[in-house]
Amino acid sequence: MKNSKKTLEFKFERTIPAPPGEVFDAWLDPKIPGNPWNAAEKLVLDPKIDGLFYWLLKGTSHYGRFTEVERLGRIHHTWVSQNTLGEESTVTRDL
Amino acid sequence: MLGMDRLTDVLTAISHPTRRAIIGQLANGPARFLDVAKPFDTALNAVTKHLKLLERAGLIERRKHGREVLISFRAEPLRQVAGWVHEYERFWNERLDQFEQYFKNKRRRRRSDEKL
Repeated sequence: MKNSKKTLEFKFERTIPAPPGEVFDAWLDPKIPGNPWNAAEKLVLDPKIDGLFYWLLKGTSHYGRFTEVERLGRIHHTWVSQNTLGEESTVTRDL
Repeated sequence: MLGMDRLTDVLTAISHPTRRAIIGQLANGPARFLDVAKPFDTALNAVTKHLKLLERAGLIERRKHGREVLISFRAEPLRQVAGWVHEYERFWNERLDQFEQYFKNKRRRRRSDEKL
C-alpha cells in the first residue's frame, strides 16, 4: 500500500491428494489446470532462484522474481503489478 | 471498482482500534462530537485526528442539524473493501478447486488403470 509499511496478508490453505513432489511439479507446470500460471494469457516463467516471470492476466501485466524454490518445502516469489504501486508484494506457497 | 488510493485510505482508517471503535459506535446511529469522544481515554484533538482519517476514507460524514453537527457512519467504503477482498478470495479458491480436481482426476484414472 502507498505510503505505508503495513501489510495485508491473504492466506489460502488446501489439502491436495498427492505427494509433495508431485504437487510441486504441477504447481510450476503452466499446462496443469488450477495453478496460477495456467490462467495466463501470456507467460514467461523461469522458476529458479533469481529466475523471473511475466504473467499477463485480463490485460494486466504482473512481474516477479523467485526467491525460494524448494521442491519439498516452499516456493516464494515477489509480485509486482499496477495494483502494487511500484512496491513488491510477495507470494509464498508452502508444501 | 475501488481505486487503490481510496482503498489505501479505507484500510488505513480501519487499521486503528480506536477508529474501529468509533465506527462501531456510529453504526448505532449518528452522534455529536463530544458523544463520540466520550468513551475514549484520549485527548479531544486525538479524536479529531481519528475522525479526519475516517472522513477522508468516506467512512463518516458530518451534517449540520440546527446548531449541532451530527457525525454519521457511511458503510459503502467497507462494502467496497469487502468486494475487493472477495475478488482475491474467489480467484484463488477457483484456481485451487481446479488444482485439487486435477489430482483427484489423476488418482481416479490411476485406480481405474490398476483395475484393468
